[in-house]
Amino acid sequence: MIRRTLGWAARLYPRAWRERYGEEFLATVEDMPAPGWAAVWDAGKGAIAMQLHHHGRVFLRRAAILGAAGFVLAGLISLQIPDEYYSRALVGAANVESKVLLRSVENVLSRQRLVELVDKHELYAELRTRLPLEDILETMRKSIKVSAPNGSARAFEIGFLYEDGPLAQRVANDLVSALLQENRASNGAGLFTVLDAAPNPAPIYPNRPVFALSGLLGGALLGAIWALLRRA
Amino acid sequence: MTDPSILILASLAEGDKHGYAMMEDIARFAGVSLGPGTLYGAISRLEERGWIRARQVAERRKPYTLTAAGRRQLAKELESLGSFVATGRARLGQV
Repeated sequence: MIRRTLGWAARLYPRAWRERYGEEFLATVEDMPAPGWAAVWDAGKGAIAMQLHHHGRVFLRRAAILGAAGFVLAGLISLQIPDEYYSRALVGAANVESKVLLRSVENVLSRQRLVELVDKHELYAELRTRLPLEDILETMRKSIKVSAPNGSARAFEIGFLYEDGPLAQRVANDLVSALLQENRASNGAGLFTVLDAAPNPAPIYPNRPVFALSGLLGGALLGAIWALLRRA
Repeated sequence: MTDPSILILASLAEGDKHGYAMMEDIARFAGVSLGPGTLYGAISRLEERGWIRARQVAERRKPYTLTAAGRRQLAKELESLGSFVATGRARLGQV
C-alpha cells in the first residue's frame, strides 16, 4: 500500500525529473525494507519542491492570474450582497423573575406585535410581494435576537438584523418599548430598565475585504493546483 | 548537521553509492534518516551544480561519484563547520 502510494507520489514530480530520476527513485523505494507514511509525506513534499524548482514561474503566473481573478470575482459578488445591519439594546432586568421575562419576550414576539411592526415600518417590502405573511413573520423572528451578555441574569440584549440600518435601530427600540409596556402591565414583577438604547448600526455583513481576500487566496490555490496537474 | 546535501557529499567521499546505499550510510554515520523525496531532491541539486555525477550503468540503481568540485565544496563546508564547532566548544569552555 505504502509502496504503491510512493509510486503514485513519484508521478507528481516534473516530467523531466521523472525521466532522469524516476526509475532510480522507484528502485530506492523497493530497496527500503519498510517505508512508512513519513516516506510518503517526504516524497510529496519533494514533488512540490521540485515542481516549484522546475516550473516556479508557471506556478507563480497561474497562481497570480487565478488569484487576481478570484479577488475581482469575490469582490463583485460581495458588492451584489446587500448590507446587513444589527442594532441591539441592553435592557436591565435585575429584579425580574425569569418566568416573567420569558412571558414578556413571548408576548413581544407574538404574531400580532410583529404584524404591527411590519406594517408600521413597511418591513420586507420586496419579500412581501412574493411570500405569504406567515413566512415574512418567520423571517422576522429569526432576525430578532434575545440573549444575555456573558450569561448575565441581570440584563439581556434584544436586537434586530435588517438590510437598513436606521430601520434596524427603530425596530430594536420598538421591541424594547413593547417590552417595557409588557412589564408595566405585569404588576409587582420587577422592572425592566433600558441600560443602552439601540444605536444606528454600522453594517455587519458582508465583510468585503475578507470576501476579496478569500477570493484571492482561493484563486491562488486553484492556480497552484492547476499548474501541478498540468505539469510539463 | 542535517543538511542533506552535505550528508550526501560526505557519504560519497567514502566511495560511489546508489540511492539506498547512501540512505543507509547516512543513517549509520550521522543518525539521520533521509526520506526518498529529500534524498533525490538533494541528488538532483548536487548534480546540477556539478558536485556529483551518476556513473553510466545499465542498471536501474545508478551509483553516484563525488566530482573534484564536489570534493572541494565538501572540504569548504567541513572547514566552516569545524570553525563553528571550535567556537561553540570554546564558548562552552571545552577547548
